[in-house]
Amino acid sequence: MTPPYAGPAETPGLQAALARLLTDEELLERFAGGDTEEIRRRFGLSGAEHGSLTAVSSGGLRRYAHSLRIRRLRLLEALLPVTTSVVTAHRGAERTASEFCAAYPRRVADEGEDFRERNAAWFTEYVLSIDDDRLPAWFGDIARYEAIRARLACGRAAHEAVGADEGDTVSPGDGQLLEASPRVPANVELAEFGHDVLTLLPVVADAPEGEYPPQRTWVLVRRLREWRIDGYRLGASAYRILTWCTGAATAASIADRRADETGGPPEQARRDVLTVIRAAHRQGFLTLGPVPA
Amino acid sequence: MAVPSPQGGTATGPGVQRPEGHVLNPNDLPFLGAGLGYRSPIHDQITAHVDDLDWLELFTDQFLPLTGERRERLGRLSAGWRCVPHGLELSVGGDAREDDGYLDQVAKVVAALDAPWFSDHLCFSDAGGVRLGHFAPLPWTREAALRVAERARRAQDHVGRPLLLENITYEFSLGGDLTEAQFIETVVDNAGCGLLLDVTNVHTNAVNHGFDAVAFLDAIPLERVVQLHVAGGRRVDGRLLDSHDSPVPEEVWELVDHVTARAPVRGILVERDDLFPADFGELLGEVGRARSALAGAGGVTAGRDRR
Repeated sequence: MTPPYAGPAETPGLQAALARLLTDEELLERFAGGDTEEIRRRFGLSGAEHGSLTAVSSGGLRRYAHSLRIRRLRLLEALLPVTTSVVTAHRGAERTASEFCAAYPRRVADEGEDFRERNAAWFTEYVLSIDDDRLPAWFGDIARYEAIRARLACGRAAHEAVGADEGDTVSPGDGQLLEASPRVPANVELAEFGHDVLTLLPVVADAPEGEYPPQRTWVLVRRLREWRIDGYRLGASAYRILTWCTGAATAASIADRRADETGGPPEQARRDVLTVIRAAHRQGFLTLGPVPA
Repeated sequence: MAVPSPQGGTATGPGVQRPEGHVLNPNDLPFLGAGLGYRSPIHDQITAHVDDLDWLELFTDQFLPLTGERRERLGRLSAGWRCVPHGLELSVGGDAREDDGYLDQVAKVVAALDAPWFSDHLCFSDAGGVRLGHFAPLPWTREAALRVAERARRAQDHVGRPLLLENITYEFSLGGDLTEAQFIETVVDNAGCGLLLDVTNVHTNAVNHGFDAVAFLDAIPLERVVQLHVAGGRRVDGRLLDSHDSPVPEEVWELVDHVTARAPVRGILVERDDLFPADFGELLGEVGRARSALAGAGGVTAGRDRR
């Protein structure tokens, strides 16, 4: 079990080499197969360090590396339950974990980044890149919807935005509202899907083998509290107007843009924009930039 | 409480006299009794059994950064129980630059809970820009032990409460000029920190690597053991997995009794991370078994520290 001590085994190079071996399946297989020079060169290991590493049980390294891949998949199961369930049902957990970890090596998170959020985003990229006819037609939409929910659940910006504006029952008058700059806050996201993800998510969680007809759907997703993520169905017009609420434009200029896009009367566009913005603000889906006194 | 700081920094370990003045004495810490790891899937059951659980252990990293929302959750939990934060990402043996920002955040959680101590694992979990996501063993060398001890001592000083380091399971060993027990002793002595002894990890390693668990326990500095972890795992292909998803096996409880008869343990924590039993009474029974182990060690359950 314990390998013979081969000298100092306490250097950043050795730890870095070990960490890479444990997270790079192909490199580990080459190492276990006898090609130990590659790792020595890449990490500039001394003879003693190299000796320490080659004395380690390759069976133990393989078992540990496998447990890391499966742990990473388990982490995703909590955030993207339907996505991981469907993919692993079609491709197997071992293959899924192996392919994903090879395509998206784990790394130390950047400053301010939540690894769970990053990991979920990587996994979504990975599953959306899979070209497999056996995956149901609705799968891509559900994967994107769960990714949004995961981003809102874990992301720091979403976290810090919660409570910043819980809605306001006192709405400014039309004149004031037209001069305000509405903004969808960081704890709210808008998305468009080819399937009705709000209805489908709980359904496919229980019956993932089913086929469900496409239905164009516009959705607003909001994080209210930790693990409390709500989805709301929007009309196409409301969705379009809210996507322009970035804080960079006043409601008046959004109304102009709406009139240009629809080609309808400017008064109608203004009424539509004010109605959407006022309702969204009351429900806490929008913050209003500087509102003139 | 104030954290004793090292005087002189003389290396200790096998054959080397320990320095005076910075030895953490578990008896100076409050007695917590028998507790359960807080996990969100069993939140409702936990909150329905306030009087059956002496204390809770929370995963520190699930509350970072400590936003207002998370602070409120900590406040609600710590109003019912004494709570202790248990970290997963300190990587005390890692090569990365020490992250004062991370320690600042841990300190905020510790302060919000007014925790008597905080804990993490004796391992490395990131190196060379790679975060493993789990605990990897360190080489059992004096050189490694002293470096880890220095990092542990600085973490403890930074946070301002006693740090406990937990022994891990391992699938492979990097070897070294010390035994694992000597390595642990050298780290905790030189760091001036305490030991969170995961008894299940000792049992798992003993089974998987073929050594005697009792002999191992008798070789580590039991006088530095503040807290115990117990859990149940699974056997796969003849090896034990530290999966925290089954009842604590009797062999582990026997080791617990061995330790509590010899160490000034301040708390035992039952860990269950998955496959939660439909009957919460099963977990309460394990907590009760832990309480009995502490009581059998000399009636020390009297005067438990409760909120």
